[in-house]
Amino acid sequence: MNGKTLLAKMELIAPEFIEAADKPRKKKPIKWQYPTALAACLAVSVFSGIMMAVSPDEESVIAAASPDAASLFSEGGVMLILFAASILAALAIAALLIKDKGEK
Amino acid sequence: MIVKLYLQRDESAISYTADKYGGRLLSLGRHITENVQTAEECVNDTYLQAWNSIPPNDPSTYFYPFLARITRHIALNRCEKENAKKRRGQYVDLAEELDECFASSDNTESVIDDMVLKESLNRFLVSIEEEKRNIFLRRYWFFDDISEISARFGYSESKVKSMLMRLRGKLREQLIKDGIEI
Repeated sequence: MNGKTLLAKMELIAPEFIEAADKPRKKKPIKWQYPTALAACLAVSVFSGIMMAVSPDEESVIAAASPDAASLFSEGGVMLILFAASILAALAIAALLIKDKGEK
Repeated sequence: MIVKLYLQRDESAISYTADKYGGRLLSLGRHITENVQTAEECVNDTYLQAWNSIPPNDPSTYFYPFLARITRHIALNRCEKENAKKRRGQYVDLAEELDECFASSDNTESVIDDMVLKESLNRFLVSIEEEKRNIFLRRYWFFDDISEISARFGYSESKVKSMLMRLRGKLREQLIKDGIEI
């Protein structure tokens, strides 16, 4: 026997298998969790990036307007950590999303 | 319902069949023969064969597979004739893929009982997951391209190819176990 014969003899298989294989497939809904988490991480990273980018002159203006807001700018190290963490989290979620799409 | 019309020898059965299943049968024929005109001829021959074989057959519970089997058989015979003219196509490619199931794929006809082969194939299909079974059949029964299977099931083409390779390996094991592989 060879491949050609086997290909022809495939007609012997049970009809329920043929019926099942020809059923239209339902498209799997996209998981909303990954894109939402990705958007949240990107929003945090953009926010922390803007906070870090604020110049000293602007800081003094903001401090005059709102002492509470000024304390945020003095914690530049915190913003840097937040920025880096959110970027890493966004990359990790993006990788999971790509892997998930690749597998299913 | 349509099968009843065949059993009553009502000729409207053929037009109902064409309306309900014509598109799917044409798609199957086109995949196998890779030619629309040939596929249409195969489908028309299917209607005639169905008319001539019902009765005595009564495929009430599996009418589409019954028709699809006829179309497939007719289309493969046409491919065999085309192959004699040395035209390469999907038919040759798929046959070569299934050659992997055999230690030495020669052209000599070996007498293998159809019942034994049928049971072995069905045993193999039952032993694998439903999705993998459908992928295997989409490739080797319905003659789908790798890209079509990839789009239908949402896998990359390389993943589909590796799945099919593993499934052919499992089929080979089953054929050996059932004493069919030569």
